[in-house]
Parts: sequence; C-alpha cells; structure tokens
Amino acid sequence: MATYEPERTRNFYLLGDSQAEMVQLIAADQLFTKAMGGLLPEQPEQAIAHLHDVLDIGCGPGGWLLEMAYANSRLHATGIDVSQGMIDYASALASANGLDNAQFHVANAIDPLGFPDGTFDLVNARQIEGAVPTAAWPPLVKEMVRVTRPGGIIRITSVEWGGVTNSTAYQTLHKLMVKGFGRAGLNHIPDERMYGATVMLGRYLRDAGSVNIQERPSIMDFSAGAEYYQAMNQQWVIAFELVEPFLLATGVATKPEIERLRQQFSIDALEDSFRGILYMLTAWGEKP
Amino acid sequence: MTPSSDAQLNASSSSLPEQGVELPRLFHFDLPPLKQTGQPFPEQSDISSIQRVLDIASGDGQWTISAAQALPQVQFVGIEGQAALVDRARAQAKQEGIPNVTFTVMDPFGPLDLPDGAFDLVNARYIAGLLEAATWPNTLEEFVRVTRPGGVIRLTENDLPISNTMAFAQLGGLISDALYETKRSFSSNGQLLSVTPALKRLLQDAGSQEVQQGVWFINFSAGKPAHADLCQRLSETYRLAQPFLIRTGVTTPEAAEQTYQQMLSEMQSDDFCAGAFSLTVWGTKP
Repeated sequence: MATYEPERTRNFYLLGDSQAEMVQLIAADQLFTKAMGGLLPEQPEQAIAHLHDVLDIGCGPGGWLLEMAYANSRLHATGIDVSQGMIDYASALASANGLDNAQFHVANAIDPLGFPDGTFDLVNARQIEGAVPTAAWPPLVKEMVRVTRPGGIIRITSVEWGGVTNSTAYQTLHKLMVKGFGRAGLNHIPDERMYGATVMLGRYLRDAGSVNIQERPSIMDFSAGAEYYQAMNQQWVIAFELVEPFLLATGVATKPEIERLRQQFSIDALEDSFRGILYMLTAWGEKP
Repeated sequence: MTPSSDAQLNASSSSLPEQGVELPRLFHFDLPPLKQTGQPFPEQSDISSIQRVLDIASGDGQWTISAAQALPQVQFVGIEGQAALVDRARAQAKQEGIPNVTFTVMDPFGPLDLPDGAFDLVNARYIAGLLEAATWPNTLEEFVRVTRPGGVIRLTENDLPISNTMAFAQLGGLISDALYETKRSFSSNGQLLSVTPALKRLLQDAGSQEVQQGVWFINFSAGKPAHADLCQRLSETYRLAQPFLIRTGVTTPEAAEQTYQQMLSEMQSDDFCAGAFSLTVWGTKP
C-alpha cells in the first residue's frame, strides 16, 4: 500500500508516485490537451513559430512536452518532474521516437529551478495544484519568470473543483479532497468548497513580475453520453483509488468510508442521468 | 407605482410563499463583458436573423436595457414576475431613452402568456435560484414553445463564484445551502449549485436541437476592470438575499449581517482575488 508522506519524500502530489498513476497521467495528458483545444490554443501562431526553448514544470510522463517536441523539430524541449519513474518513462519515450530535441530531469518544483536567467521562451506548468504546496507557489512562479527570456511567456493551467457533478458520492469525495488539500497545505483559498488555484493564477503571475496577463477557460464534459464520458470515468476510478493514501494521511476519511463512496460513484457514473463538467483555467503573462 | 416593499409575487412554484422573502437574481457576470464588447450573444455566429428577443426574469432590466442599447435594430421584451421591478425597468429604459425594449409583468417560470414561435431568441441568464430544480423541464418547454422554428434558446449559469476571502466564501456557501434546502439546487448535497452540467440535457429534453455549450471566465479581483461593477452587484445581491437565507434557517440575522459586513470590507482590499466560470448553453428549435 502506497503512503502519503511529503515530509519524508518531499513529494506533495496527492495521487502519489506509482506505475498506476503514470498510466493514468499518460491518458490524462492527452485528454486535457484535447479538451483545452490543443497544445497552446491561446497563443498566436506567430508566437508559437518563434519558440526555441520550452520548459515544462511537473511534466509527469512527458505527454504535453513530447507532443510539443514532435510538432516542432527545431524546438528544444526540457521537462522536470519530482518522480524518477515519470522522468525515466518520458526519456525512454523520447528516445524511442527519435526525439533528441527533448530532455527530462528529475527536479522538485519547490526548489529553485536549476537553469540560468532567461533560458526559455516559454515556461509551462499544467495542473501542478495537486503537487505544489500553496506556500511554494509565489517563489516557484518567480523562478518561472526568472528563467524566461524578456518577451517570453509564463503559462499556468489549473483545474477548479475537480469537477461539478450530480453524483452525491463524487461531491462527497470532492469535499473530502478539498478538506485534505487544506490540511496538506495545497489549498489556495479559505473555502471548504473550492481548490481556488484558478482565481490566484493571474495574481501569482503579476506578483512575480510578469505583464500583459490574460486568461482562458476550458471545460471537459464527462456527463453520460458526452465526449469525455468513457475516458474520464476510467480516470476517476483510478484517481479515487490512488487518492486513498492522501485522504487517510490527512485524516479526512476512513478506509471503509472511501471505499463506500468509490463504489457508489462507480454506480452513479453508469446512470444515464449522470452529469459532470470539469472546469479549468489557463493564465499566461509575458516577462517584461 | 407599486412600492418595492410590497412586491407582488406571481410565481406559484416558490416553496417560500411568504411575500418579500424571495431571492434576487444571484449573478450578473455577463454585464461587464456586454458593456465592454457591445455583444449580448458573443457565441452566436450570425445574429442577422434575430429581430425579437425574449429576456426571462428581466428583473430591474439592467441586462435587457444594455443589450437593447447594443443592438438597436433588435426588439427586446423582458418578462418579470415582480411588478415593482418591472416599474423600475420601465423607468430606467425611459430615462435612458431606449425605444427598442418593453417590460411586462408575467411569471417567467409558469405557462407563458405569449404565442407560439413569437421570438427569434429566448434568453435566460442566471435563473438558478429563482425556481425549483424540478420545474426546469416544464419551464424550458415553454421557452422552446415561444421560440420560432430555427430560433435559439440560450441559457447562462454559474455554479458559485470563487474568491480568496473568507466571508465571501461563507456567503456563497450559505446561498448554496439555502438553494439546496429549498430544492432549487441541482446538487444532491448542496456543495455547489451544480446547475451547469445539467443544462445541455435539459435543453435537449425540452425539444431543442444542435445544443452547444461554451465556457467563459470573468476575473473581478482588485485592480481588474470588472472589480468595482461586479463587487457592487454581488454586494447588492447578497444584501437582498439575507432575508431568504435567514428564512431558510441556514444562518441567523446577526451572523448573516456580520458575514456580510466582513465581505464588504474584504472586497475593498488590494489582496481580493475573485473570478467566476459561466457556462452558456444554446440550442435551436426544430
């Protein structure tokens, strides 16, 4: 049984570090890229054409970055992640696909970034809210700005609520997760119903010295019969399994309670009346 | 003129029959973008065939009047159950000299006293909270009935705004709880309003086709262009919502007032961060 011990491992990620989580992330990367409308849907084509050096923070198994590297062979892509397993997988995938323009390093985003000032044209971080404690965000975003070239882009995407659904079991699990976020220092606002990273992204970017900050929302509809229904249901089933050590370690629920909710959710999700939408926000700014 | 303290409620669906204890429209997140862009229906690719628009629960007419101002060639009709609000909307339209808008006292959530196919577009914005969740199917069928074939039915909702301050969160939570207690929430535990995931299927089930949905986000943190406008509107809404919250038993008068005052001061802080996701869902009448 996996455990959630960030004090010992310095890994705050609520879904842990396992092969199962890696498999889940490989699928999730693709789903989120699609739902968001592409790799960089909000950036003008001209800006994308001028990218040379891209850094992805918390790259996981490398899905987003490898697609970037694949789409543009002149691009030099760098990914960092706290998990050795994820980095090994991403590196192996890069070399198997002959993508010698992509490289991956093990590094913890709560530490200063190991790159000189102004190294990258684009620094990206997608869904790091479940992995980086709130207190570490302002220094991290400052570091992201530091390693960006003047005129370059710092871009962060976060999910709100984990999803809005009509399943009591899902919403109860979500409530427990928000409570766990609070206890683990991952919540951004004092609200027991929200994660809150979304409303803080623009402010973190501004306080870290970036300018021309803009925001773009996207959704993933995983209601019964909707585009992401099947794929997301598989995601939730695994995620609710993997989140158990986190919920137990933060003391917000007991094992039988989690198991009962998980079981109830898998029944709810099969109902034709099941409704669910995931909301996310991308915020980006420029380094002056 | 009907005094506002004596507001008549035509709505029969309310589970709180006591007069004067009604919720106002909770959110107005679409007003700043409307005023900024002059586009009441930014997601509609072609508005050239839209000549008559019905606005559901038009309240004091702020959205309807702004939309009519933005599209002077379109005739807007607002329907609203509270006569006092209709009076205010009419007075406002007259004062601003907007000729292409009219307001009528009518329960917007019952059978509509309007002919079939009378409108090119029927617009209902942030009506969650104004009617019970169970009455949405019949209500939407009426919206579809009064839309002409090929016309559009358009809904916009939000599940709760998000902010980094305590009292704002508490008040949003109380509203969510009160809607749950009065069967107006789509949530099975009151956590959020949970109305947005329900909209697409509701519109399909009411007989509209080619249903699409689009998300948009408004940031009204301190320093943002929408901050003053939306904070003022939320302050007004949450003040008007207090009797409803107290009546439903989710809070006490003292606690509600204290939280409200705290929220007002939070909103003035430079640290105030807030935003809201809205989902606009629209379909055509076959």
